Amino acid sequence: MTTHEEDADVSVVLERVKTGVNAFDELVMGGLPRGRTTVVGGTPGSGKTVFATQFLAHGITTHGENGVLVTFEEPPADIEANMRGFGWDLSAWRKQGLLAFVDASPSASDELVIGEYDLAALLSRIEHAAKTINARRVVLDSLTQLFDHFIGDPKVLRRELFRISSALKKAKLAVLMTAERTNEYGEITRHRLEEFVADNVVILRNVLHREKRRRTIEVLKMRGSHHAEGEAPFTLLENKGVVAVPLSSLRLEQQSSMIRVTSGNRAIDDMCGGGFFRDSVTLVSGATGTGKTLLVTNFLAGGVATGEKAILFGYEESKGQLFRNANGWGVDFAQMEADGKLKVICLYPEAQALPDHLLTIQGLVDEFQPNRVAIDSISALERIAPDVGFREFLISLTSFIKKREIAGLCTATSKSLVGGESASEQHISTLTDSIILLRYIQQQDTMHRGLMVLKMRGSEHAKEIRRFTIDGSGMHLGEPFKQAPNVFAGAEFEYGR
Amino acid sequence: MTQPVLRLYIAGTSATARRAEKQFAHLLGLIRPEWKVEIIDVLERPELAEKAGILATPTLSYEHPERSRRIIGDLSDAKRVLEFLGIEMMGIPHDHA
Repeated sequence: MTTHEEDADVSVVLERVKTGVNAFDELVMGGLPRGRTTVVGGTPGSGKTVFATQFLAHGITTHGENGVLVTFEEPPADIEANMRGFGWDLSAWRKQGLLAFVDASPSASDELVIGEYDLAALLSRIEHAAKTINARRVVLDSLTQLFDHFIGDPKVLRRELFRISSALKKAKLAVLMTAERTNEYGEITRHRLEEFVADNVVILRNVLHREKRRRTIEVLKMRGSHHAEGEAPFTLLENKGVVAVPLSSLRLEQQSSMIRVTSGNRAIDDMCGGGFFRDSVTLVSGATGTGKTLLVTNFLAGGVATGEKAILFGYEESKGQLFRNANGWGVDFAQMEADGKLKVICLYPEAQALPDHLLTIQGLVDEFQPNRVAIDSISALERIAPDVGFREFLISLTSFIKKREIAGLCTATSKSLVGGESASEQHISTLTDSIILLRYIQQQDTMHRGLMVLKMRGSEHAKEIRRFTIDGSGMHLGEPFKQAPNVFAGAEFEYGR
Repeated sequence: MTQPVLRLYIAGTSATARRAEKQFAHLLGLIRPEWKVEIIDVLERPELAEKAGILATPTLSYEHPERSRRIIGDLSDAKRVLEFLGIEMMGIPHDHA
């Protein structure tokens, strides 16, 4: 049902209306177009009402654009109560004339529908509300409820919805309608009503994958403009609403500086050609007990010793354990924390979903403003993640660290004791700038520890495998192995002569 | 006062609206004359539609504090309409218009 008038509209640059979900606005090239209708589809509990309300709230609080909320499901009082938890005081805005409700929730009276009718009364009420408060945004939540309400010919409702949508568009309002879906993947909405009213279609999903909920947002269609494809993860946060996780894979724009910072171990600095780069991410990979956490400890202490601030996210050990370990190597984490130079956060990976972990990390980094950040370990987080989500997480995490121009260190645990690669290592190796391998190396009847710098982006580095030992004062690098063992091949025996 | 009211909500002067008015007039001929009656044009008085929670036109609403009832759409079957609304018809059986 495209008219010539609408086709002509496409050629002009559409004014973009920010939704308040930043990462989403990026997906749709700046926001939802004004004078267009967007249908947001999702299964029950997928976050449609929150998304729609945030669209109005953001207009009111940030852009001075008033909004009308047409509710077909819950009465306004319930919505006001439900949305308070996201930090939106709808009743205050209503009293100030910034927000108006059109209450189309099921009434208490008995109703009978016979024959032909139209929804002129509904349209008239919406237009009246919009005019009264000079609204620029309108939300209809949810259309499906309207279809369930008027049992009868769905054709009539589609025609009427089309009329309402056209009238609101003509009034230059940004229109957002929600609609229910029965399945996460399948028919776009029940009653296929998006075909009649939607210029744009957005899908919210809430998929159960390996006993974890994964929420995503996808732009399915944007009439007359471009949009990013694929599902972007999001989460629902208290006092914030919908927070989408930016897929930084879209852009590779982080700066690359040549400033070196210490790894916390002079010998490793030398192997790396003078230390890590400031805005780079280094991966330390090794089997359990090879000294990964020690390297992390050195990395943090080395930064603090030069006056930097450091933050550690621990997912394997408790804070007490980490502090005790550090003490064992002569590093006093407690004092550093007391001085405000160090922050240690320990969380169970299972405590929250992966996108939430990412937001936690970002939130604390922005709050604490450290110069370096360590994550021990990435593999522990991989445990809770569905495969797709983990790669997205790593991409977002590494690009976040680089954008903040801080030095990052992540650890990954390889599964086998000797050699081998962990899955997270495969995931992350292309994303990190430097890789340090810690390996057990068997020579004849002795087990040694070996360290090598596998990769150092933009710099020379030592190629040899160095023997090292660990004692009460930390890590000590020794001579290189003469008979180079194969550090990747697992349990291969190298017999020196 | 708790005097029951019969309200007809229509939209403008469309053919549908005029037909509904006619059917309503016919209905009124079948019931007691002391009924309070109003016709509301939702395009002119959207705030009254808002207050009553009207979505569709035409809607015939029997507004009563104890039990409100509404019929949406076609009002030509006067007997069925009045039966649903629970309003007694007067005296002689009537031919349907």
